[in-house]
Amino acid sequence: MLGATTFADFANGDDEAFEQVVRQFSGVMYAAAYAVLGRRELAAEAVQQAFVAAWKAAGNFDPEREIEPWLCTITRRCAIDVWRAERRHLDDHRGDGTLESAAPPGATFEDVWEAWQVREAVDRLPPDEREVMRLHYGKGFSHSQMAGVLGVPIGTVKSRTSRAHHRLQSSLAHLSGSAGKVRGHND
Amino acid sequence: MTDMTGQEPADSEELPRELRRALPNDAVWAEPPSDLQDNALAALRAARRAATPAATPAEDDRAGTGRRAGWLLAAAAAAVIAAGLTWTMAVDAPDSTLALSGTELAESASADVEITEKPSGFEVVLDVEDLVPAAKGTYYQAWFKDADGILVTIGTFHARASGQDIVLWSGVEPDDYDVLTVTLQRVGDGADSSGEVVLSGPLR
Repeated sequence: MLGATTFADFANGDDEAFEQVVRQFSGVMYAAAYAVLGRRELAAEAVQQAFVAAWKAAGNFDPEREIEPWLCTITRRCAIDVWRAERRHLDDHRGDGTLESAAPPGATFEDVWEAWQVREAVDRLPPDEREVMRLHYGKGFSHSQMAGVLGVPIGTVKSRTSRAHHRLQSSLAHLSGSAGKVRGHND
Repeated sequence: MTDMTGQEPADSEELPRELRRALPNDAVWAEPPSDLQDNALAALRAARRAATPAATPAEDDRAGTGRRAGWLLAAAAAAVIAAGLTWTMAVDAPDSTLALSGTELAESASADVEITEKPSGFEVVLDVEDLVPAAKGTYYQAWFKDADGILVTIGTFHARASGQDIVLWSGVEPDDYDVLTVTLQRVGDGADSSGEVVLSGPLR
């Protein structure tokens, strides 16, 4: 995991720290940006902007706080900025009212943060388990289809699936019941 | 979720409902472009070069071509620029950022918040999206709330001018509180919170 020293080096513009931060967070930041934008090229643009924004603000980051929600907030904001710029661009060229149907950034912070956490948990799975999760949840494959694609017995697919589920259930246990945590009333 | 043959695949029913809902999210499985990291690094290096032009010659010196006579002068110039940059960042960059989500009373609303410590208090800037302007006779009020439910108001606004940041002020330390909320209030109903929360988000 990234230490406070590395992040301080990142704030100071250290090349090695840049690489560490980018390596560690680009995947989850991409997932967060994609959750807002739903388009690969725009999500990639938002991630670039988010890294630069994080670097600019890093001097004021409190190292006693968790870095990931902070980065997620920055990523979401940059994604929304990218979407607004895209919307303005389309508006300039279209002007026929069809933007009403263009997908706006509907992702709340909770949605984006959830995508971040799930992506992070998936990335931590062993490669063989991650692959069955990707084929199943990302592509909609059944056990038998996965067995065919991977060239392994169906029993192997089932055991990998079961192990992956248990790991995800353990690492994402906090997601259950978290929906609506920030909602509510003052009373 | 069903597979391509219409059967329930891969034992997902053994997972809690929240996970069954969260895992098929396209964002989780979207593969980043192969050049994402390279492009992000290039963007960071470009931003650094743009911010500290005096640092570039020092980088080029890594091959060990020897100390130059003007090194001390360059270092002094870099220090002055770095001090200026630090000051600029301290002035421009917020101390913390957070996001507010709309509650069931304003489901499509959201806000990005930047909090910056200033000499007279904490400046709280709300960039609000899709919050309906307060109707005549009503207004919005923002609050810090702690774990015991203690509320401190940080100001009121009506959001009737779209696209404008809303600037509020706090005289109390945001870190001492857990949640930032915005309520819809009615003129004449007194100073207490109405309890009608339209936006809410964690302060830490």
